[in-house]
Amino acid sequence: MVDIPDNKEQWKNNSQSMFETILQEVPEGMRDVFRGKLMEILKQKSKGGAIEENHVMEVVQEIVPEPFKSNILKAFSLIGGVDMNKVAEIIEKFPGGQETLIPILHAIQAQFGYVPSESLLMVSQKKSTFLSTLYRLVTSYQAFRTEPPSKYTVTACNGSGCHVRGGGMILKELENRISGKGTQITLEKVRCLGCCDISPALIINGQVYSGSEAQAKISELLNK
Amino acid sequence: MEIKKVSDLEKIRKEGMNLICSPMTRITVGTATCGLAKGAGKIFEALKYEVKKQKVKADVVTVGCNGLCYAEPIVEVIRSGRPRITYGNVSIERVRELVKSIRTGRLLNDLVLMRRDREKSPVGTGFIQYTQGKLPKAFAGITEYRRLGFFKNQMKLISKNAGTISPEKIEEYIAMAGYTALAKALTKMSPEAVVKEVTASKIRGRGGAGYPTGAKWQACRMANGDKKYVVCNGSEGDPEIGMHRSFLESDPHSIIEGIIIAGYAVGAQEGYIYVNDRYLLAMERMESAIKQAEDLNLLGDNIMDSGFSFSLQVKRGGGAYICGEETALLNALEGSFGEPQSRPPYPAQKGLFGKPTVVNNLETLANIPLIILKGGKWFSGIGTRLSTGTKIIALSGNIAQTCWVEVPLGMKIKDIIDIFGKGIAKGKKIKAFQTGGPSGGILPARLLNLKLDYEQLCRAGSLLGSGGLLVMDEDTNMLDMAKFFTDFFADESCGKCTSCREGVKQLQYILLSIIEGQGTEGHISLMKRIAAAMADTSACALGKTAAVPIISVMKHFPREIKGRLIKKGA
Repeated sequence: MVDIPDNKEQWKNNSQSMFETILQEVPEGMRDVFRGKLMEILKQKSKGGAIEENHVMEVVQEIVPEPFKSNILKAFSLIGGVDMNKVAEIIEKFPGGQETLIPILHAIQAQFGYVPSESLLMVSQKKSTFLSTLYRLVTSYQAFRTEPPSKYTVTACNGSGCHVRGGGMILKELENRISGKGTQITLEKVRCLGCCDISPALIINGQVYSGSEAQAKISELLNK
Repeated sequence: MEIKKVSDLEKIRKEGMNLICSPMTRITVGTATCGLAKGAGKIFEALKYEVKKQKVKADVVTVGCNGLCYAEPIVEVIRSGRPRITYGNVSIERVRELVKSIRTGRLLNDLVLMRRDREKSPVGTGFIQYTQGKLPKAFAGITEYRRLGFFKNQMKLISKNAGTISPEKIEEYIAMAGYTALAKALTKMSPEAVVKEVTASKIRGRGGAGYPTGAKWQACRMANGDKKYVVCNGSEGDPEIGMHRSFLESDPHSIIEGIIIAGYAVGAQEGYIYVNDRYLLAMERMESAIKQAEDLNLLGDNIMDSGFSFSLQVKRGGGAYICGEETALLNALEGSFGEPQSRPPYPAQKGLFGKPTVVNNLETLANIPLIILKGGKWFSGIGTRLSTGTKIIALSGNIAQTCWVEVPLGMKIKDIIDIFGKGIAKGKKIKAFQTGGPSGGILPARLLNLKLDYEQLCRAGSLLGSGGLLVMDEDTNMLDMAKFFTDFFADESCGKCTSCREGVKQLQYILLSIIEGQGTEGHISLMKRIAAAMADTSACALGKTAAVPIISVMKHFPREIKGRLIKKGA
């Protein structure tokens, strides 16, 4: 497997994740060859300095044929402000094989608030793991989010203790109210919050509320 | 310092005792999740501020939860030579007054829950005398905690420290006879003798299945392997119980001690504690506890100069109920998705990274130090003939007092609900209850005389499980409950076995059509057939038991379903 250049000064802004995105369009067996070739071109463009986003963009515009070009440009538009150097740092903190994947994903989520798809590309590269394996972990474990959280997060207890005490009704009502309100509020359902004595329990932006209090608070947020 | 000999432990015990019964006043705040949810964090800060401001000589300390979740936030005051006073439902507005009362030597009578004159650790060595000399008159009107039904009827063996010691101070755990069992095992017992003692105790797994722990250890001990592991299952994903969370947050060292002893017994060098991904506070406290144990050479190389080395790590889970199943948990530790594997080989032969591994529930492991100190025979005398020891039970649902308690196995469920839960909230009648989490049967009130016992609950179509006790009042719709648990399993099925993955989905559809008034008699028999197929052909307990709630509702509350069906010829 080919090492991703470790020189941290070499990439600027999102250029590295853009570069990795290009490589995703290349069949897996040919990636290493392409990586080397593209790096050469990029180095020429940057004249030995830092590789900037527009350098990568030029490569796409000049070299890549359709339909790959459109796919890549579309994927570029999804790259958010994810600092790939941070991702690389996190991965380095966990030396080892597959058993480090879940801790790495937890650390990435702690850093960015979610697990950005471009970070998965880097993990798959550095840990020689299939992207599909990582994607499975991220989507099947409930701990991981694949999209950035909204401004407000409402964590509702969907445990049986809360359900029996009217939590089920509240949850249904919340789902109806929040779904119609765009992305301002993310509703998260969990199995037990550990404070059954105030059930039905909800956490709104880190603060615990009980049933009717929570409904009032959410009404307040929705009216903002 | 490093502990090399048993006498070094003694020195630290004295330090710890000085912290608990300090010549200064000790003010403790219950800061497990249940307390924090009710504002205990703010109360802790306010107490520290007031103590400083009013120039009261006192230590303000965070402790865990003593089980009285309904009375949180709980603040306790221990003044030298006076009984330990427990205040409940302390609000932030009362903090100033509370500190003033300490200064003036008075009591806040409206907040007082109980007093403790002294307490005796079940292992005999951790004896604390709070009240010195004659009891002052002002305290005489307060009930002593051993006279309160809530404590009188409990048997606090493993939860004895919760709410008393600070989970962040190893000295306080050692003061309560902590790590004495480890010292005994390492210096006076062979690994075989430890396994023998555990076998003699007849303790069974506290996670749900009830497999004899001694047999598990023996199998792992006998297995060939250059490396072996001990894994503590702290996955606790049941949707109604937080008592293991509370336990991890209140007394992490008792679990660590149990794990090290397990490692010594089976010949393992490494251990992992797998913790539910949401239990951040528990993980933080566990990690700091491990660090402290390492500093004292109770973990690491050549523990207590015995030649035995053991290392321990906390692993955060990914948030999947299935990871409570031991083979799924091991897969998760290895970095894959938590999917159960068919057995044999059992983890004791071929577990983590292909090496022999003991996987025990954290509650099982917390019992180990006691068994070592007091003997397997003593332990087997508690509880019933086949279900020995105590069990932590968490009460939730329509209960008047939400709480968690530790009771000897064999106690009647009715008693648990009446004594500790104070019956049903709002004066209503109990309609049904469920033990053992979502895989347990929903049983009608007429079966309340059942005892906490692996076999008896199993015969009644339920299970002891990990100790949740959900209570439902007369207003609860049983069809809705059946749907709730079926939805739960539909979410949590890992999808490996067709019978579970598709079976649960079909049960969901059928239930929905019954709820919508489209159900027929044929649906009932179809559900029974699906349930039977799931039980027969699923690889793990999740699939085998996913249909238990719906089947139990059909059996015990047939009218609620039949009333919804389309009548023949209609």
